[in-house]
Amino acid sequence: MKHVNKQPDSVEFGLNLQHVKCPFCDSSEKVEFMNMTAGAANEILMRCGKCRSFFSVIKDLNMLAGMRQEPTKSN
Amino acid sequence: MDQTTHFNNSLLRLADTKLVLGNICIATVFNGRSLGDFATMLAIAGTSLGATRALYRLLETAGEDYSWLERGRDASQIASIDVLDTAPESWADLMITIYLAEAASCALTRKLEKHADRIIANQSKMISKESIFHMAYCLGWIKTLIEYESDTVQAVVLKRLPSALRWVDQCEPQVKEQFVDSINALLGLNHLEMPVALDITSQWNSALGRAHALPSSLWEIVRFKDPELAR
Repeated sequence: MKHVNKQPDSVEFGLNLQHVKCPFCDSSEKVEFMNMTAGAANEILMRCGKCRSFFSVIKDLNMLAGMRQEPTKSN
Repeated sequence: MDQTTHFNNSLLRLADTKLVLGNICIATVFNGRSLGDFATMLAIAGTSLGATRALYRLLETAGEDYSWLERGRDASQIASIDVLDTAPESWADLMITIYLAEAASCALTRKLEKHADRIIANQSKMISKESIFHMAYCLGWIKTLIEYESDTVQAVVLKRLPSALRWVDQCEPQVKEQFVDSINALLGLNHLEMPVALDITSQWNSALGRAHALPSSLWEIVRFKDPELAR
């Protein structure tokens, strides 16, 4: 089995996190996606590019930019 | 078969699929490529087993015996989707297997979100939301893996998808469109056409949504190791 070192980023996961704010310095300019799971299953791990703090945000379907979110007509 | 039995079978197939999926994630977590993957695989396991427990409780209110559901059955009575039966052979295989199991179960829960029973509708919304994030995680990895091993990814899709299609066709045909929507993302990435669903055999059990008992190697992972301790 080949080992792929590259990790998917937020774009590959279909996440749009540009509106997430750092809870410590209130900046939303340079927040970075770190991982799909933070301290709990329903949280995403983030890092503030300004104050460099790690923080988590609750997963929200509105964060998924690239995936279908609404049921189809037949449902 | 009356409507209640049909609905209970549907919930059981969903619950057991989450049961097996959760256990597979636990068994395969160390194949993760980073600590982040370990955390996410365990998160998928935790939320899947949580969904199983909640769905068994819903079935209990519908007259089923909770203890029988949780630890009273043998391998021939488990109603999980058979896409999960064969052990994944690579990280790509694992990501695609999880994606297909979640796409099938999510298609069903999206429908149940509109159920007249508010408890069932709310539970389904919660499970759908979790499944959608699990699918996003797998799809992110699949996009990355295609860059390095597209042949493997395509082969796995073509190997696993026909049995998932059969499950949807036979068990939940009313959610086929929702399922196909999710699968189109996977096929588009791989430049593949939709394959044909596997045929059903004479052994097909429509209540369990599968033809054979859970393979013994998988049952060894899923089963309660010591039922006496749980009493």
